[in-house]
Amino acid sequence: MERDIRDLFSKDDVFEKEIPKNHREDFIEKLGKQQPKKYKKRSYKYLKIVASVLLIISCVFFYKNTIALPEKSAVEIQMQAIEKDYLINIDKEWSSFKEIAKDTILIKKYEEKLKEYDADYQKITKHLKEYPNNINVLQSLIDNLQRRLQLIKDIKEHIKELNQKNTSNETIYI
Amino acid sequence: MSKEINFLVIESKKGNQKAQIKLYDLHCNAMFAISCRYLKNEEEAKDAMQDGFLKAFLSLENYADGTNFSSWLKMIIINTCIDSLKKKKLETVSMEKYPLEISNDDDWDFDTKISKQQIIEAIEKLDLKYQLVIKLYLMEGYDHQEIGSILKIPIKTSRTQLRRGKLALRNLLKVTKYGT
Amino acid sequence: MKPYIFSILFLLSVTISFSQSKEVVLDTVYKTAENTTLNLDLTNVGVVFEESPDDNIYFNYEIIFSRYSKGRRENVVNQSKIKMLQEKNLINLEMKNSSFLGFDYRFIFDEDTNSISWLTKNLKNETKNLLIKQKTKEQILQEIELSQENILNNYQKRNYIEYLKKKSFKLKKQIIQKFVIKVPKHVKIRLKATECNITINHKLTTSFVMNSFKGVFKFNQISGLNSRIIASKGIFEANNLQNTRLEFLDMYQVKIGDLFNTNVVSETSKIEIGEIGENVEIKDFSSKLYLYNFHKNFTKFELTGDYTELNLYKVRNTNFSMDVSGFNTALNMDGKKTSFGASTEKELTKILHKKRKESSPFLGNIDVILKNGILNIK
Repeated sequence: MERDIRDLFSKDDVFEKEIPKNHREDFIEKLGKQQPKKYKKRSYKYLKIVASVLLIISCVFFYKNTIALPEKSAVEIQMQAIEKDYLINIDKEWSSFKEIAKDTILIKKYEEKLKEYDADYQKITKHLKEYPNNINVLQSLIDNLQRRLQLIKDIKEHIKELNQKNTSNETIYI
Repeated sequence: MSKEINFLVIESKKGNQKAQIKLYDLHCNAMFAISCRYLKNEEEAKDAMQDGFLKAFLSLENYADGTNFSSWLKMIIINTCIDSLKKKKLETVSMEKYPLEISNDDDWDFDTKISKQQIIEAIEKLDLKYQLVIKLYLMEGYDHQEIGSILKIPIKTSRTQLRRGKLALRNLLKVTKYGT
Repeated sequence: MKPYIFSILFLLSVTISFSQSKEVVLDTVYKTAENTTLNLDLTNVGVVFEESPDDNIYFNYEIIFSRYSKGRRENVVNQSKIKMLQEKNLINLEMKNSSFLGFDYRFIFDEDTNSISWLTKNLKNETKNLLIKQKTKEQILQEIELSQENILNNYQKRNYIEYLKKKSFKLKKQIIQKFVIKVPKHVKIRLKATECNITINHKLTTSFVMNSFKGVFKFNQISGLNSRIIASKGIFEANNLQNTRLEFLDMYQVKIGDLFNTNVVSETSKIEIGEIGENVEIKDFSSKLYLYNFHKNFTKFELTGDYTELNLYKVRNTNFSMDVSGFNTALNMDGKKTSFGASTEKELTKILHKKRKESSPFLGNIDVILKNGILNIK
C-alpha cells in the first residue's frame, strides 16, 4: 500500500525544540545594538510620491533617448553557458596538446585549423544576431565548438600513442 | 490573535522595540524548530534565527499588512539559515549544465510501512543540495519558484534537484526496508 | 445566437486559411542538347536530384506552410534569391536561401526554449574514439541508406503525401521544403555548394565536378570519367565511386561503399571505405582511415600517410601481400603495441611485410608508407 508523503508533511506540526538558554537576553542585546529607529515624526509620504513621479519621468525620457538593452532570452543564456564551457575545454586541451607535441610543423598546421574554426565561429555569431533563435544557426555554432574540441582531442590522443615508446627495429613478417 | 499581531507589526514598523520583542516571544519557538531543520548545531540555529528576526524587523516595509506574518517571517528566517550554510562554504546547489526532459513530478507515493520518522531520518542522510530542496518542498511546502528565489537557482534546476533528491530518497528507503 | 455563429464562422475561416498552403518558388523546364552542362551555385539549399524521364531538366521547388499567415509566407518565399540563366549549352542556377530556411529538408518552427533542448540533448553523445569493428560493404551501404542526416529526406520522399494529411502536421507551425531537380543522364553537372543538403539518387555517368563547404551529401554512384569532388567540413556518403579524384579536407564523416580507379587526397577527415577495388591511391595527412575490405583482384593499393591513423582488418586471413614502411609509427596488432623509428630519424624503416599465400588466389599488393602514424591491424 502506498500513500503520498506530501500529505504527511502538510500539517505544519513542528517538533518544539528547546532554544538555548538566555536566548531572549541575547536577542534583546542584539536588538539594542541595531540603530534604534526613531519614531517617524513627520510623514515623508508626499515627498516620496513627488520623487518617484520625477524618477519615472526621467526614466521614460532616458529610455526613449537610448536604446533599451534587450533582455536575454532563455535560449541565449543557455547558449552562452554552453559556449563558455566549450571554449574553456578547448583551451585546456590545446595547452595540454602543445605540451606533448614536438613537431612544430604539426602544431602550426593545427593552429591554422583552429584559426579557421574561430573565424567561422565569429561569422556564425554575427549571423546569430540577425536570426537570434534560428535552430540552423545555433546548430552550426554548436557543431563548430564540438568539432574544434574533437579535433584537438583526436590529435592529442594520436601524439600520446606515438609517444609511448616500445621501440623495435625488427621488421615483422606475417 | 491576528489583531494583536497586526498591532505589534505596526508598532514594530515604527521602531518600537517592546513590540519587536513581543513578536519575537510569540514566534521564537516555532522559528527555532524550523531553523533546526537546516542547521544541526543549536547555537548556530539560534543565531541564524535571531539574525533572521533582526532582518525581518529592518525590512518590515516589505511586509504587506493583512498577509500571514508567520509565513513572511518564516521565509526570511529560512533564507538566513541557508545563507549561514553557504557561509560555511558548503556547496548548496550547483548549476545544471544541460536541461533534462520532463518526467513524472507528481509521484510522491511511498510505502505506508515507511514511517514519517524514517523518512525524516533518510532525508538527513541525503546530499546537502538535495536535502535543502526536499525540505523546502516537502516540509515548508514551497513551490519551485519560491525555492528558486530562496536558493538562488533557476526553477528548472530546482525541479531537477527535487526529482533527483526524491530518487535518492527512494533508494535510501528501499535499502532500509530490506536491511532493517 | 446570431453573433456567436458569426464569430464561430470567422474563427473557422481564419484557422482554415492559416492551416496549410503551398507556395511554389520555382517551377521551370529546360530543354537540353547532347553536351549540355548544368551549373549550380547553391547556398543553404536542400535538394534531391533524380533522373529525368526525358531530355529536359525539371526544376521544382515548392514550400508547404502550415499555420503561417500570408504575409509571413511571402516573407519566407522572398528570402530565396534565385538566378536562372540558359546560354547555349549551359544552364545556370544560382540559389541562395537564408538560414531561416536552412538546408534542412523539413523545418519545424518552435518558438519556446524547447527548440534548444534537442540540440543540447545531442551534446551528451559526444563522439568517442571507439575502436570500430570491421564492417562489410553491405553494412556500409545500409548505413548510408539509413543515415540520420538524410532520414528526413527519405521519409519525406516516400511518405510526402501521407505526411501532409497527418493531423500532427496540420497542428504544428511548420514549413516543409521540397526541391527536386530532374536531370537527364547525358547532362554534366557542375556543383558548388555551401551548407547544403544534397542527395543524388540516380547514377551519375557523366563527368561530375563538385566543390563544397560544409553540408551533407549523399550519392548513389559516380562513374563519369574525370569526376572530381572537393569537399570540406561536411559529411559525404556514396555507394560507389569510380574514375574520380577525391579531395577531402576536415570532413566530419566520409562513408564510401566501394571505390576503384580513384585517387584520394585527404586531410583531417574520418573516412570509412567498405571495399577497395583496383587502382586506388590515398595520400593523407592526419585523417582516420578505416579500410574494411579489399575486393578480389584489387591488384594494387597505395597509401602515403603523415600523422594518419590507418585501420586494416583481417589482414592475416586475406590473401594479399603487404609492405608497410615508415618512421615514428606505432603498430597495434594482436593486442601488442610496437613503435618503429624514432622521431629524430627521417629514414623509412621497414615495419611489416606480409607474404602472399601460394595456395589461395592472389588479391593484390598493399603498399603503405606511414610517417608519425598509427597502424591498427585487427
